Amino acid sequence: MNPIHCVKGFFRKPENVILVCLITILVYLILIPLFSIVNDTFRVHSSELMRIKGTVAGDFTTYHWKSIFAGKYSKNIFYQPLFNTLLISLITCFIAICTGGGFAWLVTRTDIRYKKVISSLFILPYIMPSWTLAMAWLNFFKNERVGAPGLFTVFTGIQIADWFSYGFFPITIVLGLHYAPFAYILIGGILRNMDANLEEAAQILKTGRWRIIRKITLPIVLPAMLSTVLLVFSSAMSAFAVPAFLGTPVRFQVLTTQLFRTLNGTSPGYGYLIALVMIVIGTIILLTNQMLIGKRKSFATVTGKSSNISLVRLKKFRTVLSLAVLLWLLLITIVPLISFAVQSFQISSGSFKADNFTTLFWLGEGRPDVLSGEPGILRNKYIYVGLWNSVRLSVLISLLAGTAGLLVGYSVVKKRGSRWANSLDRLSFFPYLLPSMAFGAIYLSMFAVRRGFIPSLYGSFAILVLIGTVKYLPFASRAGINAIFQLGKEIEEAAVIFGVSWWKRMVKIIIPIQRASVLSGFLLPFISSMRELSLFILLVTPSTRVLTTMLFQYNEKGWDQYANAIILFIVLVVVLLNAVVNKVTGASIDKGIGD
Amino acid sequence: MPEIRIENVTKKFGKFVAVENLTITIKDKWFVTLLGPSGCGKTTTLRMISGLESPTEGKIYIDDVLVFSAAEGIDLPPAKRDVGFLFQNYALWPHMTVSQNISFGLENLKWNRTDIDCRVQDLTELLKIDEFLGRYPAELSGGQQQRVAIARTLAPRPKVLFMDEPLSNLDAKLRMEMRAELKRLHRETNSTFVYVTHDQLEAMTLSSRICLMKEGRVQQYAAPLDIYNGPSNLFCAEFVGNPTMNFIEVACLQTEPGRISLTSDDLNFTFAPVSPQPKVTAGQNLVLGLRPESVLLSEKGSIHGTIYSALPSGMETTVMVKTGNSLLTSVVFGGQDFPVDGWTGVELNHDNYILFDKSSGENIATGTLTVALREGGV
Repeated sequence: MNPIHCVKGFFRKPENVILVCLITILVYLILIPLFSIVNDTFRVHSSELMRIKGTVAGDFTTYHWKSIFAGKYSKNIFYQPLFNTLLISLITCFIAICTGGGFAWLVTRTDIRYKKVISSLFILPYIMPSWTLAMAWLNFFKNERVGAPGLFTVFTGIQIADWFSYGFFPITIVLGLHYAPFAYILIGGILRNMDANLEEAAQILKTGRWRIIRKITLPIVLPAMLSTVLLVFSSAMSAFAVPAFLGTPVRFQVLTTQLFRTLNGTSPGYGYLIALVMIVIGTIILLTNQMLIGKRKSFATVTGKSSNISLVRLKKFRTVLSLAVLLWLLLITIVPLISFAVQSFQISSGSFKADNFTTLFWLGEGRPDVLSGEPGILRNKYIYVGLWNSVRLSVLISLLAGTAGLLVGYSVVKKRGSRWANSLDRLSFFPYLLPSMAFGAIYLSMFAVRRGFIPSLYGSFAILVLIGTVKYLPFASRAGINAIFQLGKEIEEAAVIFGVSWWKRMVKIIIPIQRASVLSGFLLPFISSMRELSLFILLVTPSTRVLTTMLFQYNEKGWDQYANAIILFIVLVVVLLNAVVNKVTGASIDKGIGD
Repeated sequence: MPEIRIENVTKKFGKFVAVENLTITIKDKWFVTLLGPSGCGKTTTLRMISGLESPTEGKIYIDDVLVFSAAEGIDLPPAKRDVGFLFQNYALWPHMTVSQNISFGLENLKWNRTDIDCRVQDLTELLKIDEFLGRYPAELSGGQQQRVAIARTLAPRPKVLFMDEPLSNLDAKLRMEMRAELKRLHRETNSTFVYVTHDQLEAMTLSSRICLMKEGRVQQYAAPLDIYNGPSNLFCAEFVGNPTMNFIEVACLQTEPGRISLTSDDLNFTFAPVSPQPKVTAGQNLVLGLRPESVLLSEKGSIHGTIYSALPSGMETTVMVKTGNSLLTSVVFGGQDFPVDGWTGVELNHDNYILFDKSSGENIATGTLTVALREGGV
């Protein structure tokens, strides 16, 4: 066969066309920016001319590498934040796995009460922006270092030590709780699907309860736990808002806060290098994860009569434990929201006198004596601009990422096992491991100037859409791959036999059948970008501000009431939307656990 | 000696009654099969005896020890009942090698290492899996996994062995082989086996007693051939035996000692009981049950029919004959084929035809049949 026919034949199949297009686009949007950032670590930037004497902007230099890794200030700029980051990520993992895994065990393996309520409440911290809990922590536990004391001191009169209010301790607690639902979903899924007979077989062979957990249950969920550890680790590493809120008052620095400082300040070269280090760590984690999964012992769960799971009877602890769990969950989900609501009505936070309550921050026209005369958020046009930007951005990102994810799923499953499909699979997952802030830095460096057919995008709305789409593609493509994979190829082939066109097959057959999975591919990017801060913070300009970056600015200025009102607003939008979509279609991010 | 007594056991899942008022005794060294269609409560029964499930009511004794009593609040955990359990999907631990899987139970019993190794060696040789000791379950075929599961169950020498459809995941050929081996194992281990299956052939060939269940109730508890020859009701008659028994709906015309006259759509029969004379009244609706091997094809046959289909397997041929409005199945031994739509006669000269009452389904008599052609009949 001659090569032209060969190529023509190849492109006659829609999955091949999609495959080639997607790979080309993703190489351009993911791989090339990586080279661009490496290049930037060796260049002199205009704001650095003062320090790197005798150069012009754009010259080759090893200055950044030397001063980050072996300079006089390396310890403060780099090594200490790196150490802080790694330690925080490690402890966060530990907290997330222990609470998430513990709850998953309680819900799937014991006769604890209120399983449904526990399950949906426990997911909330993950749906809410991670800094919700951080702000709640500040509301409750801040001390006089930053103005008015928190609620705890107001009510008890006890002064709180710095280590409890700010820095390492609260950061790990808050991040741990934020990622615990993630562990809960992953480990719970495994426990739920794990064949109960495996545990019963041990029971029959006279194995004690603890020995069963230690020798049978734990080793079998271990691979899932390791994956969870690695994913939580890389997420915790790239967290920005929580360390920024809780670390700044005591100058506790991690890599992301350093990245923000240096890129926003006068040393972008340092920033790019720090971003590169984070990307390398992320990549090592991905490789480790893949190595661990591909091991000899297959943990593929044989599906058995799992409906027969015999639950551990908590006996006399049942009611007490159920109530304790419920109370604790209310404490970390509903109570923070109430505190936001209450504080947004107080002129000076912490005082509960009647004359201290006001609707100023919601409805006021702005009083010159309070917070520079900023009008209340329901009358503030900047808030509406931010809200409109947030919604517009999230909708666009969700549509683009969701569609791309579905196409990735289609072509990867169709060409399963081929080298191209594997590359696309990996490429589409890669953005997951790029720390958000570092990814923002990459796009800043890449699209600050015209590149090929793409004009300079800095300051435009398009760059936000682009980065959000690429960053959330991993969620969407996982959902897409799942959807198409579960469907099996026969369903589509039956339509191919009848000569139904590709477009019709997708719209009339594949998408309707798998609408729940497909929709969750759209839902996840939407929710994620609604609450995203660190990805956008380097790229927004006053005209493209979104709610989250405004919140961050209000917070930096110390305008807690506005910040509280906005966060309440975002949480409500996200939670409501998740609930509505869940009700209407059955798609949801917490699907699959807790009856 | 381990004798299992189950007294008035009932199990409810919410409002659904899975097992109702079950009372059976399983004697020492028996091979008892719980047989029935899916959802009849057989697996639940097995899980209750082994302690994996707690009954709602009733008592269970194993080896004269009361292991469960709803009234007295006794519920011994499985570990204290000294039993072995073989799961349908084998439930091999994926993270342990074959030898770790087998020795796990012995370690729980605090055996010393040499004894464990010895036992593992013996069992794996017996079950012909000694070459796979270092492998993980995922690296074995279905039949090999099955053997590992058996070895693991047998290792602590349980006196009672429970098996939940252990052969249903194997292919037909392997299933045959494993059946033979299970029967040998039963002899060699000298223990009591309780076996769950929905495959009547498996139950027939393996067991010393079959407990046939339907919708949570015992239909018949007897030796396989007793059930085959004397099914207690229509359900048992239909469930056991392949091809299925032929059923002809008839009505009683008249009855006199040693003779019952019956009529179907197009045939008249005279039924002569070899069992005690049943109480039948004229006009009562009855069902005649004829095993396929007792329906003979012969030129002299008094019933005329045409061949509807013939399925020769080499060893025997299953023939369906159309007589009037009904289809009769017959089994002819030997490698014979029959031309479809060809003519044949049917003869009924055995003495094992069964008469069931139609409304209660009960078996009321066994006997011989004479067929009389009716005016205008076939």
